[in-house]
Amino acid sequence: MNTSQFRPLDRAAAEQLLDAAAGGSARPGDPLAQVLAAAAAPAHEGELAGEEQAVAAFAAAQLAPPATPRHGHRPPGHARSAASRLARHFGFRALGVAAALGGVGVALAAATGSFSSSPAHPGAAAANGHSIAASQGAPAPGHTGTSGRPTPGSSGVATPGSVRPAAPVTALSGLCTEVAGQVAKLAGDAADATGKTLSATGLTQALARPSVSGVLTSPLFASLTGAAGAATNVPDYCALVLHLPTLPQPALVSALPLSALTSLPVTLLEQLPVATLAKLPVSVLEKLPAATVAKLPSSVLATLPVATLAKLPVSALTGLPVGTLVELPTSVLATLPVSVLEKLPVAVLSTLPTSVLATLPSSVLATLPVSVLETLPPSVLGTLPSSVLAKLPPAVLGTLPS
Amino acid sequence: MAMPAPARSDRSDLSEAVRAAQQGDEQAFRAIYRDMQPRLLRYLRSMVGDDAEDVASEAWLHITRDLPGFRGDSDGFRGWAATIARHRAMDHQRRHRRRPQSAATPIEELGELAAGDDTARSALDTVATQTAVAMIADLPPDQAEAVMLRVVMGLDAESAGRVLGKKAGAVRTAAYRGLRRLATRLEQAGPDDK
Repeated sequence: MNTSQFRPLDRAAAEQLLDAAAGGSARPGDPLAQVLAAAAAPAHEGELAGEEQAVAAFAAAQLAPPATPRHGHRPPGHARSAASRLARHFGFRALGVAAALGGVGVALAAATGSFSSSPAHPGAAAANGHSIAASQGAPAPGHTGTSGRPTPGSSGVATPGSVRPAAPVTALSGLCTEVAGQVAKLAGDAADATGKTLSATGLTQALARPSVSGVLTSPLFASLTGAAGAATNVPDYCALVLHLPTLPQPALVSALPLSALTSLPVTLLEQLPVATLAKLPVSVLEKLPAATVAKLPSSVLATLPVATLAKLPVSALTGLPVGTLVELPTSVLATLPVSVLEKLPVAVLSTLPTSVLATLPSSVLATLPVSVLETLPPSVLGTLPSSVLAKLPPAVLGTLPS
Repeated sequence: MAMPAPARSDRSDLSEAVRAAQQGDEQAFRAIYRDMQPRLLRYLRSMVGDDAEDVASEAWLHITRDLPGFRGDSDGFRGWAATIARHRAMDHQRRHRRRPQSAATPIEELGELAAGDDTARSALDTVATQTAVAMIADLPPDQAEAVMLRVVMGLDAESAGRVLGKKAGAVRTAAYRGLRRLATRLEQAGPDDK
């Protein structure tokens, strides 16, 4: 549906389009108007996710002293006086304060009422906005109320009792839910096709059904198929996106394209099988928690930056090639077992603390330079063969037992 | 819920809420946030892509801190907040020396979404918005900003000019060029390009 608009857009028409979009209306059938209207659409679920954080910042700002003046916004020197002027103003007029507050309260109700009926339902704003759009002649009215259209008060909020792990709502998770919903409806498992009422189990079940591929042929899901790499990847991809506890098709996970995997959050990545993780680029691996990285084969670990390796448990480090080990900080090397330390070049061993060196077998110690040997405790030196001891200065030899 | 005359959030007057919030009224601040955050997020997405949420959080820190000193009406407030967000975005771009791209739905799909035959579901609406913002973000930066400030932030050319440090005429020209480019792109993406 792409009506070619061969009218060359003139300035007046452009201004009209901009105004119309900003005001919330769009002429149906005009693709450019639709794009602008979509950009200016009312708030969607997820766009208001940071509200509590912002309110906390607001509350904190109330407690802090007024900020130092910033050019362009506040003339210097007025920082405190503006606030105290207002306080005095309201203080002097006790009766006026009540009236002023009452006035503000009413205006506020009107302001909040225009886009959200209740704090916890940002989705209601979308619903309200679209019922307005419906009344202005956009796609047939009667949307609100047909199955799948969120109604105010219920949109965006999980129905009570549904067991849905809290995953951040994104465009892809919305599409994944849609796919599962349509499949579930086709199978008779659900009354509506939105997928919003499905539990985690229901979603996994739906995604495992063969009918998924048929549902995916709709152009609506093209971006989802694109992100997953192929239609056959979508069930597992959606399981990862929706934070489902089990994969619908575990055997196929390794087929997911790298581009799909690398965009997943860490919490999902760390659930992938090691064979799949091993294929991820370093930039992704270094973000994973140490416990997950530790499971990777040494050949992969060897490619990770030192900062990442330094956080791994010893058991993961012991398999690293010497060339990688020598880059680790001394504090990390000091934790490695003797069997690994033995393999390190002398230059690196020389940097280890005495307490660690003391644990090395004499055959290794014998290779260390005198300057290092000198620092070893007599009890350790005493185990060295005479050929080595002969290299030590007399002052040191004098401290040795017998 | 009976609505008064189409009081869409883009045209709602924040003046009272701003004044009340300056007095410490938390509900008033929430009203401001609910009006401004979607706009700021989308505007920032056109500048810094997927880092929009982070940059928006930084912007709110500045907005809440400097709120007591703000003087002006509703449009002035929107422009002021947009300017703060823009500065944070530019700081971010300098720190990261790149403009991150966000994954956009192929443009060919937008026609289908916009046609949206029957039930327009919220997931598709979200995708439609993100796709639209991504399309606008593909424009040359000055055109993208002009269009976003006009359409998403709801600013007129003068106010947008103040945010961008340009004359109103320059903003109008940039927005006009942006729309023509968008129109061309939409005409080229026919329904057969799948």
